[in-house]
Amino acid sequence: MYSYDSIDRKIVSERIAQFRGQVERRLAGDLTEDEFRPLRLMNGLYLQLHAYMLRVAIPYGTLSSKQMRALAGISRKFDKGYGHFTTRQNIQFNWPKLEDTPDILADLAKVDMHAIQTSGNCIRNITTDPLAGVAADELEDPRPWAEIIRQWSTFHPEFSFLPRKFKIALTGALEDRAAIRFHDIGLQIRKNEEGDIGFEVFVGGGQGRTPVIAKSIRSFLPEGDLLPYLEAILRVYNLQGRRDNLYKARIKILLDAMGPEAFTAAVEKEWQTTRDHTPNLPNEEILRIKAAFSPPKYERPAPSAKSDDALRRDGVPEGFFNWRRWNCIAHRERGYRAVIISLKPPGGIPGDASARQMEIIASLADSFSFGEIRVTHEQNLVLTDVRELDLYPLWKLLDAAGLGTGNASLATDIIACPGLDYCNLANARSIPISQQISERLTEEKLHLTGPFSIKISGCINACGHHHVADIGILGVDKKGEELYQIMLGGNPGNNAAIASILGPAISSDKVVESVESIIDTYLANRQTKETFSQTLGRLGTEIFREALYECH
Amino acid sequence: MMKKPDPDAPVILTANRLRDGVSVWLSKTGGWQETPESATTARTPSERTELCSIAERSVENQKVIGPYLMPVSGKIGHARFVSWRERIRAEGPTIRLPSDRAEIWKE
Repeated sequence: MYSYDSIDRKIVSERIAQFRGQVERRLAGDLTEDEFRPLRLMNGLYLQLHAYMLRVAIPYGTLSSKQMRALAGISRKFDKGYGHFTTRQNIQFNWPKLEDTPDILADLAKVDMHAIQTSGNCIRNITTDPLAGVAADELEDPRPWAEIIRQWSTFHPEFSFLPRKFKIALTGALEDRAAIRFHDIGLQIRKNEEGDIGFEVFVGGGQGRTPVIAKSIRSFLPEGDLLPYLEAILRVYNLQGRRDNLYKARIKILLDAMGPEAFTAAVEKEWQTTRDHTPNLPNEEILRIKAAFSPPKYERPAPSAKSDDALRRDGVPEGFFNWRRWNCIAHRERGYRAVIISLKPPGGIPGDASARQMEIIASLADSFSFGEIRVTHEQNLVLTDVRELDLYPLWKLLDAAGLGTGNASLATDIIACPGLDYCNLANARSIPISQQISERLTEEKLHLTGPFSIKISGCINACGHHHVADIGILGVDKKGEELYQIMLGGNPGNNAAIASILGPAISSDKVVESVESIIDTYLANRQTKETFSQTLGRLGTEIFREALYECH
Repeated sequence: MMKKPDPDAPVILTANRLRDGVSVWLSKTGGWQETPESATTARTPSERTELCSIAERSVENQKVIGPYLMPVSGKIGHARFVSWRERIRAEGPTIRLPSDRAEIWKE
């Protein structure tokens, strides 16, 4: 993975010194809260329901074991002994003190981490495929480009005060695991007829109160033109985006107002006008960054794993085989798998890991996966390079730590925002609903159902991605009571779709049985190998609406 | 800016403490406490005005941030809170925090 150089470290240490001074001035009364608020937000420090919350950047979701241990240490020293991995591939601490924050940032800096670009109207943390570099269906590793965009966007003077926050995601795989069509800019690595690498450029996607699927504005952009083209998009947005209305300030609103053709024409004109004057990345710098993402030293050939029969004769429990089926993903290197560590045990809190668990995962990464960990936007973790031979010993250790749940991509692999249990913006709780669903659905039903997504947001801002789930659940407040809207048919991937609301919101005590009723209706009506979205497309929503409201 | 609650509802004054962000309520003795149990309640316009003045002074003195008047029902216990938001803010998350469960992970 990429390691900071002296320039990166200087930038971060100067930023901490600056923020330390700002905190001191705030506590001394030399800065008002109105003056201080944007400064703390630029350093990832929010004020939530019960306390401050510090959001730490994990660029494109990649962590070293050393960094993971540092996060565990920070959670013990300054917080309540756990962290929350987010749908932006970051981590949040829910209980830091303002006066401790500069010291937390200093501890982060010791392992080349920071909280920059985790708040404010700037280009936020870049996200990508959590299987980048190892996915069997990958055209090219997107991480070097994610790193290049990170370096280019950090403190970019022209784009530090955009009309609103700005999110960029990219993938190099055939299957979109980074939800690129729901980002302000989504980049899909493509190869043209000459065999050159470039990007298809999507713009104007997003969730929130106005969910929009991004439009493709360029089918192939040569890789060398990436930064000038991104600058052209951002320049059009920066000049023409709505700064007068918070709810209309995202680029998706601008693109819709201008129309895709006019928007694209404006970007192309800006690009043609400025591309020769925009400093671009020297090829040697691209190669230097690509070298940082060279594959680890795989064993070739990797030793063979025991057969299933032999494992069963050795008394290996069925739990392992279930886990291997769902959580171990095809790898481009023969004899290896990418392993998803589920942070969704039955009754658990999606995305949460205790300090002890983080330390165990760091040790397992060292022992089994070249010391690297990825964070997924589904709020799980990944060990990307595990020998098939090691899967069982790894699972035993994970299972002993409460991390061996075999439910990746199944209905209990729920995305849930922090909701009203933590968040100042939330209208309703998300986590308890998620816990109830994951306790209710039996393993038998999960396996019978197969891949199925449930996503829960506690408010219209959609941090829980409810628009892009098979079943989306949106918490709303009605006169102090928590109600939940149920929606169906969303998809964050290649066949991007926005879920449709089934009908009036239902009370919290009806959500779990409603979800199960919808799943049962799917199981009773699906044809062979039909996914939920295919069944929904064939039958329409009415049969599910009836199932939902029969519960009431 | 403080939000304006229903003019007829009894209210208590709440904010977050500047140093650590913890939710606090103005007590009957005039201090900021981490529980609303002994919060001073305003029932008249003049009592509300007095709470607002205290809030402004506490902000100026770097004690708290984000003060607002929080409606209460006049009942006791959970019924005191008129919304889930205020109840959770006062009583904490309704879920067991992960670190509380560490003992089951064979440390």
